[in-house]
Amino acid sequence: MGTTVGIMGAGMVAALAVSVLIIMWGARFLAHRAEHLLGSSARTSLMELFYTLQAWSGREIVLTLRRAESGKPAEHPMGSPVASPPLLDQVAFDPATFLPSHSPHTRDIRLGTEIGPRSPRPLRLSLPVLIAPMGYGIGLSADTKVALAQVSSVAGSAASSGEGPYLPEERAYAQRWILQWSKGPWNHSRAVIQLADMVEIHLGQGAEAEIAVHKNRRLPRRLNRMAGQQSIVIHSGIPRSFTRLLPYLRRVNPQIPIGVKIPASQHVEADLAVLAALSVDFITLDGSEAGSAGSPAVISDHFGIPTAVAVKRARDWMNRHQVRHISLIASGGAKGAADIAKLLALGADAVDVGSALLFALSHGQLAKFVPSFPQGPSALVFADSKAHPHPQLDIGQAVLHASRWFEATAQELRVILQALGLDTARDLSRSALIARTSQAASLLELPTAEHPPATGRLTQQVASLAQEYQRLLPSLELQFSLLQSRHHA
Amino acid sequence: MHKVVILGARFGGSATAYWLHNLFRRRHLDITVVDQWTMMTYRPALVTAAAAHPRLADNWHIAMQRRCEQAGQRFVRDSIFRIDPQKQQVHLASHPPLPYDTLFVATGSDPGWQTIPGLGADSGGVCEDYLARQTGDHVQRPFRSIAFAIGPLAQAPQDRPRVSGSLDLPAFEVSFLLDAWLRKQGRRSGVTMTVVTPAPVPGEAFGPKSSAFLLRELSRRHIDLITNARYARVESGAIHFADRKPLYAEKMMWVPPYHGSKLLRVSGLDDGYGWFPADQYGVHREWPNIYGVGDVSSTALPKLGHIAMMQARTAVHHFYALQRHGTPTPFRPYVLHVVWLGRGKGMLTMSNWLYGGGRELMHVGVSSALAKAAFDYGYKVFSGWMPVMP
Ligand SMILES: Cc1cc2nc3c(=O)[nH]c(=O)nc-3n(C[C@H](O)[C@H](O)[C@H](O)COP(=O)(O)OP(=O)(O)OC[C@H]3O[C@@H](n4cnc5c(N)ncnc54)[C@H](O)[C@@H]3O)c2cc1C
Repeated sequence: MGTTVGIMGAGMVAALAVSVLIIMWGARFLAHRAEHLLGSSARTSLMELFYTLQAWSGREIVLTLRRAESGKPAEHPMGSPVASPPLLDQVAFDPATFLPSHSPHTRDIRLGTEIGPRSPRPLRLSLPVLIAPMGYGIGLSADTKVALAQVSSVAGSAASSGEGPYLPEERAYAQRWILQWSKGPWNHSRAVIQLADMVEIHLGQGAEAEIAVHKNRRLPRRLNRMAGQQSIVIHSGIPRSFTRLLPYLRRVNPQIPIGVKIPASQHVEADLAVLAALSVDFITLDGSEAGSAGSPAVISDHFGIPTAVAVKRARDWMNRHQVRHISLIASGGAKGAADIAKLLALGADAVDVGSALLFALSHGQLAKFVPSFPQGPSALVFADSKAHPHPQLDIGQAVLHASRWFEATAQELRVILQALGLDTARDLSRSALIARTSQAASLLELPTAEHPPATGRLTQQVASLAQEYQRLLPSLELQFSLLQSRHHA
Repeated sequence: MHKVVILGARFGGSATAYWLHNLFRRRHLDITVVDQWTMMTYRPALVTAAAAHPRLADNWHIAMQRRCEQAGQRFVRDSIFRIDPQKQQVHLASHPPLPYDTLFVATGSDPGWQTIPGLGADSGGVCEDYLARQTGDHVQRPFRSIAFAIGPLAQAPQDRPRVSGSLDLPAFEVSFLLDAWLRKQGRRSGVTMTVVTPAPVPGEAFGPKSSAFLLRELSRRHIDLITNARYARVESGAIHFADRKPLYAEKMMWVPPYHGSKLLRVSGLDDGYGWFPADQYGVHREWPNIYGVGDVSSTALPKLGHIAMMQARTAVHHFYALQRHGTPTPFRPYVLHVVWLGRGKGMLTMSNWLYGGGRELMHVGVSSALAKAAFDYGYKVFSGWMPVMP
């Protein structure tokens, strides 16, 4: 017995010694090969990958392979990188200290806002965040749309039809429902217009400019039935009847705000001049960061100007032309409260959020994909035909997580406002922002840390006087018009 | 074939579809049911979800489309936009107009969130699955005070009997269930609970015995009560009244004001206050081929599922009697309800006190709760078409 144990012990020691030797020899061999690889010609070795990845982004490689596979324009979802780091991350907030002196750091911070203040029934929101339009069937599944509609109601936000067809459950669940008037084959009946709380005419979007969109693959069967055809076309450009469309919509539903969504372009000021002349109630500017369920990469990655720049320029133009009755909605690239607050400070009245909400909706449900489903996690929320099996969205869980995202975002917005010494989200202005980079400084005309803004007492006083005047102006105008009407009476 | 259209597919609409299926042969009627939801949310079960069990909100959906289609009825999933009584057509959002010979309207009351300034679905609620789920999720987290508020019922001034609150029972039920849950968690002593009702007493439609019991139960469990509430406005964390000091509450759960139906208003079919003006058989006072059933009807008081089911029975039997030259029986209301009290107990009330009948039977105990649970499960299992219908 004793001898057997002794022999086993000696055997184990020998085996251990041999394994250590093999590992050491293996490590040396690998180091040797790596050294050789680094020194060898990149044309004939794996080292070419190093140079490829230096010159090509992973995104471009994947898109190239996709083109080679399909012979069609390559598409991708989830937005486009415009600047690195993203432009909004190149901006910081200026914390309140002794200034602004008039505002105590308040506890009761209000986030509510309204879109289309001039219309008889403006769209009132509990916080300046809208659920970005994402169409049923051509973008999102019915379950995802239903979940988002429920979230919009418990969060005090609004749901939007997107370019897809009418989904009765969405209208039923959403306390505030925005009809996106698309150039597609549906949603143009008087009934649908009258059921809406706001109409957004979709002329184009950041990821697609104003090109025509053809959809015929992976569509839910109900969609083809509703369109009455197998392939769905969303037409390109500005419809010829556009100038008549606005008065028509107003006639059908005179109570609600009616506005237009356009991609953010280098000639945004000219676009605004056209739309302001048409008396729209709001304008949505969709920047080049904006995502979609899948748009041609040559458009989504290579067209337009960043959301933040578009908003800044639009607000400047509106201030210059004293356009105060048109609300400005920023869309594209907002990932959370900090981005939202920065866009508000740059001049937006509300901000569309899409991708971030899809992440929040899917939280806690992605494990379902492992190990049986090969798709990406977006299969949980995107529309698909029944032929492609994928895990079902648990609507209840999705709604809980996305409404918690809203709660967290509201709290974060309040924290930001508190740190800026402001009482309401409407008080956010550009004076709260600092540029962290020279790119942000020049694009957004913001001061940088190395170039302090004019700090003299006089300039400070003039700045705050101008701010007060801006606040006072609407009520002075109102008083003036009241006086005038009395005078006429 | 005689075309019958049923608008709404919850308690009232589903029971109407049942009775039409039950009394008539298939070849006599062409029946279409319309609702914006293919799945019915069984609302009586939502109170348990709101009392800290959010996941239960998704357990109480009943496949109404399947139920109707199995019986040979057509189901249209769409928003009903307008009824044109002259042309006998129902206009839908995304389908062609639907013609009818006889119409049953069971579309319930719209929530009147906008009738109190500052009030909205985001204030907290219980009357739909997503609201109950949200309330259930919120109360699981730490909080110090909660208000269970009942909105007013905007009845026409001439309507009798008078009821002040939209529906008070869910508010009492959630308060009792949550009280029991918080006690179990050892958290009850740190939470102030208040029920706010526009009615003078709790359980206003039941009768004095039930009201007295509810009063005792509230005080025994240290749940405060504000009666005769006249709301001025609501803001996050506070309810302001017209004639008393505000109530501060970190969390709120509202049964919203009931202010009738927008569908009836835009169709010119309401009584001037949004309600369906029905006679004792449920027939519209101007249009003899239109029936009103359930919460939408001015005669459905209180606004309970049991009343909706009884009205469906009355209306369809009236329609049947007309076809067969028989004598119809008018609607004879009585209230039958069980209030969940928590810890496996319930308060059963059977009463015609509200209608001047003077009878009120009340029983508190486990058997009452069991009766309610049996009805709920029966309703779910049979998708609303139970072997014995009220
Ligand atoms: C939390 C809660 C608990 C309750 N507990 C009880 C209880 O324990 N016992 C009891 O008896 N009662 C209870 N009730 C009351 C009961 O739920 C209602 O009385 C009952 O739902 C009324 O049924 P209804 O068919 O008349 O209307 P509703 O339930 O309101 O149904 C109307 C239907 O019409 C559809 N509809 C409406 N308008 C349109 C439109 N424009 N287009 C398309 N579809 C439309 C809706 O989608 C809905 O499915 C409770 C209610 C609530 C809210």
